[in-house]
Amino acid sequence: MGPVTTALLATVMLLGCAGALRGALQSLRAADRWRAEVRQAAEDSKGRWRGQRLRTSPRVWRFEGKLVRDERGSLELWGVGLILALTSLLALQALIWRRRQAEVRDHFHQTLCLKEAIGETRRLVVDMGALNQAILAGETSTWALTLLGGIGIAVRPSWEQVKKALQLAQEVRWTAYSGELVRLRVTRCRLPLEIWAGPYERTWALVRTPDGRAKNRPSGTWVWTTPLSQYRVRWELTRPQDRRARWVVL
Amino acid sequence: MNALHAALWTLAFSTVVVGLISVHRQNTHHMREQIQRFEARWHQLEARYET
Repeated sequence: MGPVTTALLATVMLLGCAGALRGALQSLRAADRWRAEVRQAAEDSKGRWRGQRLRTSPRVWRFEGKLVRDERGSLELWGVGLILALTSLLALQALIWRRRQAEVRDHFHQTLCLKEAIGETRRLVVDMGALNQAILAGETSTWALTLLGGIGIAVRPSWEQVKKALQLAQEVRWTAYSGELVRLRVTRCRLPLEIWAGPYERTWALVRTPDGRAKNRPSGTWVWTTPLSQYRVRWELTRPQDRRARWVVL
Repeated sequence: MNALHAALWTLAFSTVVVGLISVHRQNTHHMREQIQRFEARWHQLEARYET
């Protein structure tokens, strides 16, 4: 609801209330006038006994317990004013509720986005940590190829080739993670800028330690803003080969 | 005529009141639905990212 709608509704409500007040004042004044006229008529009727001619306003005798002439309009003005004020109050409430609903919906959506982003990052850390562990193990990890389906016996790769393959796998995993972030962004998730940096250092490719592992960032903070609240997420990753980061969500 | 007049006013005011109540009910229903959908999706994500 924009400021123009609010101002318009507020004006209608004010006019309605003013109308209601005016109507009320008018009918009070009319009642006063009528009471004065009745008192006058009663005074006049006393003169009947003294043989005077009765000077009674015809208006008093035409009253018959209901408002006459322009006085009925005053009560209707009152009613119309009240109806107008109540209707605009209703419209205002409907608009406010509509806005609140949209805010709550967006809050839930952003909360789920945060959950999903944390989940994806945890998965990334698990996979990158495992690959880093393989690189850390060095030549020993080529034995794993021998054990896994005997590929090592058939191909006999050198450690350098295996290391390059592991590093390539890390790059691919990183790309998949970025793809997931793009998917989240497309579904209207408001990702903070820091999330794009990720838990591993990167220039045009992943930054490596001297032994070839992907270098991690020690910690990071994401501030996740929703229409109703703000989440502060902090993660800490001690070593590149760790498969679990420490997460704190406030 | 007076009875008709009173009936019309009563109808007008009760329309407003019924409108207010129905908007409120609709709002409550909508909120409950949103919360249920959120809970369902949350459990789904919990299951997916369970490590």
